[in-house]
Amino acid sequence: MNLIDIYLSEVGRYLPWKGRADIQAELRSTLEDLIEERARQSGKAADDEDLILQVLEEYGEPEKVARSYRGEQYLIGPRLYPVFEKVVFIALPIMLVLSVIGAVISLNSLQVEVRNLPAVIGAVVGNLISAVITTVGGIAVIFALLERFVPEFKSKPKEKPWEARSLLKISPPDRVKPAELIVEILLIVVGLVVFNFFPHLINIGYYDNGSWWIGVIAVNAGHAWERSLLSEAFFRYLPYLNLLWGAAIVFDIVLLRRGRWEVWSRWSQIGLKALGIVLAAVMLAGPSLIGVTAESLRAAGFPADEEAARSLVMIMNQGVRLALILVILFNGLDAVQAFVRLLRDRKPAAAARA
Amino acid sequence: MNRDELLENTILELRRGVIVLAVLSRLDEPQYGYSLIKRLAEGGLEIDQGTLYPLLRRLESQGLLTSDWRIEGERPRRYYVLSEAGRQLLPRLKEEWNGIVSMMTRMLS
Repeated sequence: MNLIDIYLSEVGRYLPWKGRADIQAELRSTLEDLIEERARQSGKAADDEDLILQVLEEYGEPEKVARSYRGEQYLIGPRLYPVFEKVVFIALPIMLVLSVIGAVISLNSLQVEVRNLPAVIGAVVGNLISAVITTVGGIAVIFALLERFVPEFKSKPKEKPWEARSLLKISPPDRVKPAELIVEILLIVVGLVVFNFFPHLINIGYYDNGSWWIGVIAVNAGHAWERSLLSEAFFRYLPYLNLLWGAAIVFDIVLLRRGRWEVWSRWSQIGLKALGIVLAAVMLAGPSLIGVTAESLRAAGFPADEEAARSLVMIMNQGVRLALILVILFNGLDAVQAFVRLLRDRKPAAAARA
Repeated sequence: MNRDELLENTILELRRGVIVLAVLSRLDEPQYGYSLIKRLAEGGLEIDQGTLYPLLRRLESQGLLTSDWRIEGERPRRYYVLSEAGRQLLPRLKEEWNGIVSMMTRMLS
């Protein structure tokens, strides 16, 4: 094998299989032309090793030569990349929140001891990192496959005519939506009033005629038995809930007065959402928030057999857990959204300063 | 990036836009890569092989050139020539280029 063969073989290592032989043949022809001319100019023989080495060196490093034939290569091309970024932004926080919930639940069921805490924290952090890698990696693989096998994603999209008038339909991103804030304040006030002053309205009971109820209901005359559904554990959390809800109301009122989102309000929102996540996670990991058991229901003469009573209590407990998980999930999404907007707002401000 | 590099990169950008037209203008009759480089050099445009061959392949895949292998003596050579589409496009590109030159001459004078 002569030097040109070795050089071509090295170039071939970096070329795609399709078209490789053709490119190598053309390169060979060119190199032989170059060497022949250089030999004529210098008076050396065309098989002179130094001369060939000089020509090859001038032609370039094999990997660089091969790269010039390959052009720009993408795992995910410019057309799909913005969509990929959006999907990661949506999926990653969801996966992280789910991982945290999974970790909290597993810690709760394992009855973790304090001396094992460093190892447990290590395992939880490891799980979070693994969740990030799995999520981003999985999405990247799907998009890479789309890029490779769906030709529509490679071509430039057909541009639609744009009308400047469409800008009028878009509300500025930093303007607050008063209706949303007012609804939020009302819901929080209702929650504060019910949980603090009328917790017995969230109850379970039955009538003399054997029918029963569960949930938020006005106390009716003629019932045989009723009991609040909320456990003592719930009332231990209530002062913290009150503080959080109070802070949220104050925040919403200030926001309504200001009329637009600012850096401090974005950070405050992230802080409030984070506190909400922590509180919900603690409540999820702690003792049951439902104050009745199958046994207490049966002892009070509840019109259901043991299995039905057990199922009923289990459904209530699972319902509460699900609600807490949703609270964590939505708070997490709100916090991430606020953070992303914070970053977006910063870019134009930084550019303006520059 | 220092000033020399900036200048070099800017000149490279300017040349990049010119190379396609220069190559097409020299392929009214079949040329293999090495002979084309020489023809361009005679016209004053130095271009290295690493730029030319990938460009020829791209222009061929765009349908502006056709190519075929020919045996000359002991050596096979790949000859490129303007396709029908390339021949139709070239006068329009020349016209556009003349317009750009006039405009830039006015702008820079």
